Amino acid sequence: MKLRSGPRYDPQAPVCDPEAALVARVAAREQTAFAELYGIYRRRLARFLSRFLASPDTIDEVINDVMFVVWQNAPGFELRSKVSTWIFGIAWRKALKALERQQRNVAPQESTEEIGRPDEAASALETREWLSRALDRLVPNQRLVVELTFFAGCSYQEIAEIADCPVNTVKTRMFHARHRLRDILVSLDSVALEKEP
Amino acid sequence: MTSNELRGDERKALELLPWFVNGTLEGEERELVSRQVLTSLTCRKELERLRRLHQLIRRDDAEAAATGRAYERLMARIDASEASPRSRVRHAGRQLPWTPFALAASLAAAVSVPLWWVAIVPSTSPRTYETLTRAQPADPGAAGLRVVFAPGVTESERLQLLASLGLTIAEPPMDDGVVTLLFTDGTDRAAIVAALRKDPRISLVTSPPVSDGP
Repeated sequence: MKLRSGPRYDPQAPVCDPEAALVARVAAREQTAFAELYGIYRRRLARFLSRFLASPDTIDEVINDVMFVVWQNAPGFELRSKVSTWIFGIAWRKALKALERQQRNVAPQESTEEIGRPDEAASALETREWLSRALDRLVPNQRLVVELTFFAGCSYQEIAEIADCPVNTVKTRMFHARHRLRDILVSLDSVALEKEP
Repeated sequence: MTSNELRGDERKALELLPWFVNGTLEGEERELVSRQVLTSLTCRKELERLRRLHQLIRRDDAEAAATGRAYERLMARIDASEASPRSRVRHAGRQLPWTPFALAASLAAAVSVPLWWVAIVPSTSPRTYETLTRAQPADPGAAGLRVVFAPGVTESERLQLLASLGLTIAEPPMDDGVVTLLFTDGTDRAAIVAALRKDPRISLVTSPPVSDGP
């Protein structure tokens, strides 16, 4: 992976990031550390991959492919990027390969069909379904940027690293994604959200 | 500051808003967006919308698709890869503190496993190919269990499992993967069969049919 940003790796520096410390233990072939890392990322990866892959079996398979690469490459991991950036980068590349394998039609849905909007009194579930359909209208590259920003909490520099593209491309993809989601965004003005737990 | 510059700042702030919302914006960029949010109605409206989108996406947390079985399959794959010659070549250059111990363990295993097979398999025993439901020995007491281990279960896991249940190998794995096991005297056979059937490391168990004779 090309690295465009992030701190320089200093082998003498203590590993403060708990996830980086876990990866260091995985590099030393500690299976308990690997199980812990798997536990942390399983759900996040499942959520992330479900935006690109439809079949739960494929998602399962890709998660295992990703974590297999993590196990294999952990000894070579340097602290130049965050562990999450590294793992999501692997996941993104594996997801693209899985998409190719499936020959799934991932072209943007050009139809101007109205997604409609959830009734203001609709349940949170309906709102999520509505949002999910809206996100499905995005092409994978745009969806990636939206997901990594709003779900994974990545900076645009980290997204550029994961997607292996310049930061300006990330901003452009976000711009187009927002444009595509504009109906949704405007409708969100009147969607009553539940209180944060 | 000219109105053009203001519009330029507003445009830049609008572009950066998603990362202002997720809290990853820093330094001057963060200050620029903060300023624009105070002065620009467009920015404020868009900020509110993106915050709502952020909340919705974060809550849309699908159930993890992977299961415990998936983890077992992954570990089996890792075991297989660690055992493959290609993997050994690739890891050969690594300077890890446990390498001498791993080498010693590997050597011990390399020597002991063939010896172990020699010990349990009489060299004169004919290699037969039978079905899982083949006829049992005449003496029901000597009848064993036939099992097939799940793919990826390592030799050490097999030995550990069998030892924990007091089972010994009567016949080595055949080409179809069937291993015949013998009970230790005085063990609760039904309990052992039940335990094997529940164990994810075992794909198939057949208990011997009790025959009253011809």
